[in-house]
Amino acid sequence: MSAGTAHPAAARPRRLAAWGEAALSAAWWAAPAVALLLGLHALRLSDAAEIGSLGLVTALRPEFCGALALLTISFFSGVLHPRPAPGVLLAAHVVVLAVLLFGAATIIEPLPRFISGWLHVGFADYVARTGETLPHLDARFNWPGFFTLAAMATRAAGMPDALPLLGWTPVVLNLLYGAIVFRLARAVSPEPRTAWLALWLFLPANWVGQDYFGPQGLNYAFYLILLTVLVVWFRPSPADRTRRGLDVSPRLARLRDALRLPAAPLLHEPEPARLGRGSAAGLMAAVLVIFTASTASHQLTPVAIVAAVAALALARRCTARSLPVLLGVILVAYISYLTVPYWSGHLEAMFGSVGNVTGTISSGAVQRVRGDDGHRAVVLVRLGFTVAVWLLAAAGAWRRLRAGRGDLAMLALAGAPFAVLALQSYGGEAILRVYAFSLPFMVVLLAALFAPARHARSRVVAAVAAGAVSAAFTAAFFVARYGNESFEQVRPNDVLAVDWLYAHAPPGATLVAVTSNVPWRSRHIERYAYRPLGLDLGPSTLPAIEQEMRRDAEGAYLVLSRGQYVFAESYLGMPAGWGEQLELQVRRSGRFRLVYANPDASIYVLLPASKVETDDKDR
Amino acid sequence: MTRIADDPRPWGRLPRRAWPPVLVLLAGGAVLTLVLLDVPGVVRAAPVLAYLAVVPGAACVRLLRLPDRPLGLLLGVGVSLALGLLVSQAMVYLRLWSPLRGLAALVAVASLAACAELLRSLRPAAGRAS
Repeated sequence: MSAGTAHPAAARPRRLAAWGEAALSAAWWAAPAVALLLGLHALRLSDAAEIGSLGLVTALRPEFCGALALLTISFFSGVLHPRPAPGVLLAAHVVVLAVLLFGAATIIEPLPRFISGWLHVGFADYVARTGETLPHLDARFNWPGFFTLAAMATRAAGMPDALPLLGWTPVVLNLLYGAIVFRLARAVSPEPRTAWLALWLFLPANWVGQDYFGPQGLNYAFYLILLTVLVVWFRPSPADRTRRGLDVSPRLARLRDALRLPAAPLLHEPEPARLGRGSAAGLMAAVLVIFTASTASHQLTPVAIVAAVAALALARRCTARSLPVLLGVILVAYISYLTVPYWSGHLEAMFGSVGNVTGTISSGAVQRVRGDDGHRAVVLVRLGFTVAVWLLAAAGAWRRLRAGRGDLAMLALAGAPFAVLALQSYGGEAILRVYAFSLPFMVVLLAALFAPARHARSRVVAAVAAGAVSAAFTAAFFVARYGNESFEQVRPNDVLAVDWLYAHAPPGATLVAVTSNVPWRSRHIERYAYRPLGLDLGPSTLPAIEQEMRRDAEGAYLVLSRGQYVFAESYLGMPAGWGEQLELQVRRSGRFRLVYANPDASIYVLLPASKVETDDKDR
Repeated sequence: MTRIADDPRPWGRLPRRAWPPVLVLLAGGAVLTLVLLDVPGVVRAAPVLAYLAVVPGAACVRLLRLPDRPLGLLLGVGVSLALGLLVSQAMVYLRLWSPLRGLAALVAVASLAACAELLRSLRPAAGRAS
């Protein structure tokens, strides 16, 4: 019946419903823009000076939380509505979320954060100036691909260095990761809602902070792209899997019974995309190019890729069964021939923790709970966040399997990174990396907790539950990711002190700091002898500082700065006021001369030994 | 069904499928020109970085005619970054360091792939019909 012929009383509810739909649609379209403007406004009002021992979270304003809440409510109402919002609108929500999550520190702080990123700028600067690497200076130069790429790209782009790229690299990379996770989730899920939820939850769950300007950020993209290509285009057909007998094995049948799963759920997996031989060969060439680039630019990621591809092959979810062997050969060949300067002196570091799983877990979790109260709380939030994601993903996997959707590929990829725990402690960071490598597959499984929801009531419950999980993730994200911001921020006065140093210290001089938390080496990495190098703590007592500086006849400079003190007290567990006390000792000793000072940093040189002796006698 | 817009038109207008490779060729020429003329970084940074991050890999991946276009584009980004990385590292190891040379090599790769695609798209429809 047309509206024109309907009774006016009957037409009113329909008109009201149409108005309601139009209002909801307008709200969906307005929400991302309003949330972005409100969020940016709130971040600009935040003051970096308010960053405390819990990190950036103490500097955030209530309006910022309002912006995130508006965005979250709008997104979940759009995804779980009976007629979901258009994809482009949901994508706009995701882009705004990425900007607010990963751009927050960049907007609040006056300089790009994280000293490791500044160091990578220095490595790229050296390659750009000389066309060479320094494999004996730093282990990372044995895998120099990222630095050579950054050097070539920035110089071709007419940039003096890569510093302008630092601030927004995490936003760009996370948008790239998110797009890949979405395509992956879309390929293995029966409806788009699951993919949108996986993408939305991936962003706050990716708190690990390996997305800054460095080799690991780029390699994480390589890892995701390569595995997504294998999952989407190299998975066997269901008939092929059944013929090979895996899905009817008695062991799996017993496991299914124990988990109360329906019979043979593993048969219900997505159909593989059909490709011609030429396309498949071209894709395999692309996979090999990407893996070779990963091998040449990062130590750990290619190992994680080999483990993941091997898991896929063992689970018979990859038609290229011998691919792990080929990738392993490429990896071993690169390490054998092109990283000799590293492994000839570091075999213990490379292979010392093979099989030592408890030691790796201890160094990655237990030993990290140190420092001041704020830092210990941050580490505990990180561990809790990690365990929560894994448990929720396990529940989601169970729900998917109960619904009869086999996800052996996702389960294999989510579990494969744990093999890294048995191989490498990676300087105590192995658990972080395992979390990061398993996260994309975990969130795909996790999203199944909330979708599909077929009935109206279950959709409301799913929307509320997903919103609550998202809110908890987002809150935990700001503590887990930016919890170290008190010392991971780069203070302008520390940079001014380093600028003075580079303008006045002669080449070859020794530059001494009491901790590694100094924003130097973003240029001139080869021009000076830096102390400490490769260690968190440098000479930390007056005699040790003097001894270190007297070694250099050419002249040595001591840099003391607030960034170092906060790092030592918050992260290394030094007592409160330790830095100021040390600086007082330096000043009163009569053995150092102040040559530069600003409110946060000062630079000293040693007085000549003869003058010190004369002064001592006079006293 | 073959769309009318895809038919080759020898009298002038390019078929729609030929435009992406033509754009790849034009983009390569444009970024090389920007670098050779030493245009200030404020102007050339964004186009050169975007080109390096997307175009060489995307041009190669388009040759594969993958059914999933968005994932193909993401794969193109991965291949672009990987090719850039390998080319730059090879220049360092071979002591041939020159950012311009590296960019030229990547433009050459992209242009070759684009030419192959262009030839394929301009070829008469007989191959497709068979």
